[in-house]
This record gives sequence, structure tokens and C-alpha cells, in this order.
Amino acid sequence: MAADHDPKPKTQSQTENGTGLNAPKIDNRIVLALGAICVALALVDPLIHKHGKFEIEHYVGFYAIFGFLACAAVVFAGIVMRVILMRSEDYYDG
Amino acid sequence: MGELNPGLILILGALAVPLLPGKSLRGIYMLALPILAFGYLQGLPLGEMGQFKLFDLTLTTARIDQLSLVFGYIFLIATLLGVIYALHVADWVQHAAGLVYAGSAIGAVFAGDFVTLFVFWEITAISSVFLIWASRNPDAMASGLRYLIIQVGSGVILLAGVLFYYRDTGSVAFNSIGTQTFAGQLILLAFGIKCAFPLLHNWLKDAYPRATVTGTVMLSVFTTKLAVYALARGFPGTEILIPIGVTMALFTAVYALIENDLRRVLAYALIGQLGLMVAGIGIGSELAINGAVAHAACGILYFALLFMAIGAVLHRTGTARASDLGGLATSMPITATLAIIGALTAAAVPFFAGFISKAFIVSAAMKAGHLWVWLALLAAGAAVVIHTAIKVPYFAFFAKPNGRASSEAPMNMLIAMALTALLCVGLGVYPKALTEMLPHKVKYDAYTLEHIVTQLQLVAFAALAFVLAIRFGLYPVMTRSTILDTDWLYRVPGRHLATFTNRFRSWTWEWLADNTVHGATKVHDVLYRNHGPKGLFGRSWPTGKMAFWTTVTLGAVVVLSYL
Repeated sequence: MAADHDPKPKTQSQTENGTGLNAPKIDNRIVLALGAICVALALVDPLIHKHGKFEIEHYVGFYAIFGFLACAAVVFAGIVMRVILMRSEDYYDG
Repeated sequence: MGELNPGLILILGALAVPLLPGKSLRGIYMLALPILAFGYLQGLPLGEMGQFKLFDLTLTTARIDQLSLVFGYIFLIATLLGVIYALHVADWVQHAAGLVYAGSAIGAVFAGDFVTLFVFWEITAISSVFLIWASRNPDAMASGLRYLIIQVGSGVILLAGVLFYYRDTGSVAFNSIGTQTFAGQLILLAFGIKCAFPLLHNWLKDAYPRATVTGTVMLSVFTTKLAVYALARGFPGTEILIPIGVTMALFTAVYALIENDLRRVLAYALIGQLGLMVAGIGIGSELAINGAVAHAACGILYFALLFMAIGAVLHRTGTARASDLGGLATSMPITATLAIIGALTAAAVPFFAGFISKAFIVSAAMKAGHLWVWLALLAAGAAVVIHTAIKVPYFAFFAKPNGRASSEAPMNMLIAMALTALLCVGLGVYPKALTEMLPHKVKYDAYTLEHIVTQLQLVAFAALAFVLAIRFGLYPVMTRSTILDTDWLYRVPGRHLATFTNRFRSWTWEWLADNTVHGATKVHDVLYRNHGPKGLFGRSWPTGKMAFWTTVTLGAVVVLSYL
């Protein structure tokens, strides 16, 4: 019995390497909109009264900066770990 | 049927599935089963039921209390959604296995004693492997076998733990255990395997992406959340769970980020969210336990939704690889929209279900004064945005302009996804439906201005990090690849060791056989020369070889019996 999905891929974007012309893209309008949201959220931050018990939370812009830095750290860790851990797709078949 | 475990309705009901002719009749029957079980469960009073004696053990086959009820209801809802999602599938093996699997998970949740728990625990393992094998390809067969060994192994360890527990306490009632005794440690290990603790997590990311499109959705719901339930029941406030949970939440972020197979990305993200629940159980306050339970319920919904959406993509395009996908939003717009709702829930954006449940756990970490745990959970929450919430819909439905699928997902898949999405939004907008079900009565309002704004800041700046990483080419390139995880240990050196051991064994065996036969022949020759009919000692007493050995054997028996 066949697998329960169409056997042949029907996507036309079969390029494996996502660089150059095939690099993933993001529309400029989305970048601008996100930028505007971020600025707005950063501006209202001093107006919000925080009740948390940790001092660090009360620094202005803590959540914004921390969220951004955490993601940046994961991205850089990913770049390093990719070099260490990545093998060819048929690695375990050999 | 006054005292039946509700899980049995699905398990027994599943037995009739292969006999029913035609897809539509079978479909109606399968939809009726979880609805029937739901109605039956609503009619049951709180308390312990279905007790009977087995030897000198008292088994409680159905225990209905606040903790088991939440899991029972969410499991039944997920079963119904999973059945709808799989209605187009003709293969009865998957349907029957899926229902037995769901039923046994529900049965385990309502188990009042360890023996009943063990029985259902093993049925989940044995039934669910058919959802992987149903892919019917060599990779899935091998992966399923690895999965089965580990899952059944968890059951065997559980049984060993239960035996020690019974010896120590004289009871098999399943209540809070603690890790002071060896029995408790064994049981924690058994639960930990199913809960994908770090280093024990490999079966999950190995097997889930190999299961069938519809099977993965079912798998994502039950096994791990059953383990969360078992931990919440047996080990609330066990401190070791806090570092375990935090590790799960953090290390999976990197793996989800660099993994190419989108179903495997979701598998890693699933482990990450289990980490939050495990940490919550470790913190152990009423708020934290409520949070772990609520997050299990919400996690079931939004992971099911994301697995459904990527499953629909796989169904239509034949691949779930980020490197081969992109731009499907034009040909599968409804699936794309529903996937985004799942993603917003995963990112814990306010007014989606994930926001509420995550807030419980993170706030509980703060209230308990665990600064580092709080920071780690916050970081893991931000990282979800870039490694799953944006990544999965982005690489499947956007990223490249030229992707095309043959058509939108089948109607039954769309209905299942839409209903799941509705629950994700519904519980976010009206959280009382969930919070009033939770085991502890704790007053906690997630919707304060402070909390909404700070969470939006966290998510928005994480999204900004994603956009910048893509823009500057820093985001890991999606390539067809294998990412090594700890399964490397048993799939490469482990395999070499097994091959070597096998060769060594056969070599030793041959050597032993050769030499002992050779040696025995030699001994016999010497004896024959001296004691045989023509031998020095045998001349006057020509008994045969057989008589001599009989004497030796009898002599040995006499000597041995006096030792």
C-alpha cells in the first residue's frame, strides 16, 4: 500500500541551497510594520508599572532587550552547532 | 457500565473499526466514539471507581479527580480532532491503532493504581508504533522499531519501580511518590523517558517525523502529555525537575533552529515546551502545577494544529523539508492562515491560548524567587518565536515566491484545523473555560496591562531578531541534512559495538567449540589408550567407553551431592 501522501513532490522550488537568488525573502513593508510596532512598544515601556519581584525586570526596556538578545544568542549558537552537528542527509544509511 | 474507565470505550470501540464497510460508515462510527466517551465521562461523579481485587492487590481502574479530568477532557477533544483530520485515510490500521492509542492514554490518566497504569502505559507504546509503521517505508520501519524498544523499555522500568514500591509500602496506589527511594527513582526514570527528558528524548524527534501525516498529529498529543500528567501526579515539587525542565527548554531551541525537516522542528519545539511543564511541576506551587496542566492542554492544541498544517503541506507536496518548500500561501491560503494562528498561540501572543498557560508557569517561577529559572523560561519563550512560531509558517508558506502545491488541503483536514484554531483563540479570549477546570483554585489574572505589554515586547523584538537574521543572511540556511543528536551514540558507535560483539561472540564460540572438542578427543584418546580393551589398565577389564563415562558421571553426582 502506498504512503498516504502524493509520492512525487509538486513544489517548484526544488533548490536545496537557500542562498543567492533563492535566499528566503521578507517584504519591506513587513519589516517596516514590525519596526513600527517595536518602536511603539519600546516607547510605552516607561509608562508601564511593573510589579515583579526581580529588580532586573524594572530596567526600562528589559523585556525588549532580553527577548532580542536571547534570540541573537540562539542564532549564533545555531551557526556554530550547525557546523559541528550537520552531516549529509544519508549519513545513517551508510 | 457504571464503573468503566472511559478509555475502554475507545479501545473496545476500535476493535470494530476493521469490520465496518465503507469510509463514510466507519467515519461516522469513529466520530461517535470520542463523543460517546466524553458524554460518559461527564456523567461520572468524582471519586474512585471500578475497584477489584487481583490476588491481594486492590486495583482502582477509574479515578476521577480534578487533575485527571482536565487531561481526560483535552485528550478526548484531541481524539475527536485527530479523527476528523484523518477521515480521508482509507487505511484501517491507522484508524484502529489511533483509537486504541488515544483510549489507552485516557485509560492511563484515569488509572488509580500502578498496575492499571502499567497496563495502559504499555498499550500506548504498542498501539502507537503502528502509526509510525503505517508509513510503510524502510526508514519508518527502523525508526518505529527504535521507538518501540524505548517505549516498552519505559514500561519495563516502570514495572520494576512498581515492584520495589510495593515491597516498600505494601500498596500500589498511584499518588505522590517522591525520589527518596530506589522505587521512586525508577518510576521517575520511566516517566522521564516518555516525557523526553534530555538524553532520553531521541525517540521523539526520531519517530514523530517518520509517522504518517495523520499519525504524527495523534502522536504529538498523547504520549508526552500522559507523562506530564504522571509527573504532576507522582512528583509535584520535586526539585530535580526544575533543572531538567530548563535544560529541555533551552537545548531544543538550537536544534529546532537548524533542523530542516519541519515536522522535526516541531518535535524539538514540543520537547522545549515539555520542559516548561516539567519545570512547572518541579517548582510545585499551586500556580505552577496549574500552569503545567494548562500548558499541557494548550500545547496539545497548538502543536496538533501546527503538525496538522505541516501534515497538509506534506500531503499535498510530498515533502516537509524547509529547503524544498516555500511560497505555498497562494495555493494553500486557508492552511497558511490556520498555521499562523497556531504559530501565534505557540509564541504566546496575548489573546491566544498559549499566553495564559505560559504566564502561569513563568509567574510561578518569579513568585518562587527562582531568578535564573525565570530568565531561562523567558529566553526559551522568546526563542520559540524564531525557531518555530515564525520559522515553520515562513519556510512553508512564504520565503520564496514560486512554491506551488496541487491544491488546498482536503476538506476534513481544513475542518479539523479550523476547529483546533478556534479552540486556540477561544481559550485565549475566554480563559475561564480552562482555568476553572484546573486542579488548584488559585486566583491569577494573566490579562493585566503590564503583562500584555511586556509579553508583546518580548515577542515583537524576537520577531525583529528573526527578520534581521534573515536580512543579513545570519539565519541558518535550510539544507537537506542530518543533524546529529544523542541518537548518534546508538546508531553509530552503538551499532559498531553491536557488530563487533556479534563477531567476537561467533569467533569465541567457534574457538571454544574447536578447542573443547579437540581437547575432549585428546583426553578420550589418552584414556582409551590406557583403559580401552587394548589399554594398559583395561586388559583384564574390557569395559566399553560408555560404561567408563557412566561411572565418571555417577561418581561426579555423588561427590556433588555431598558438597
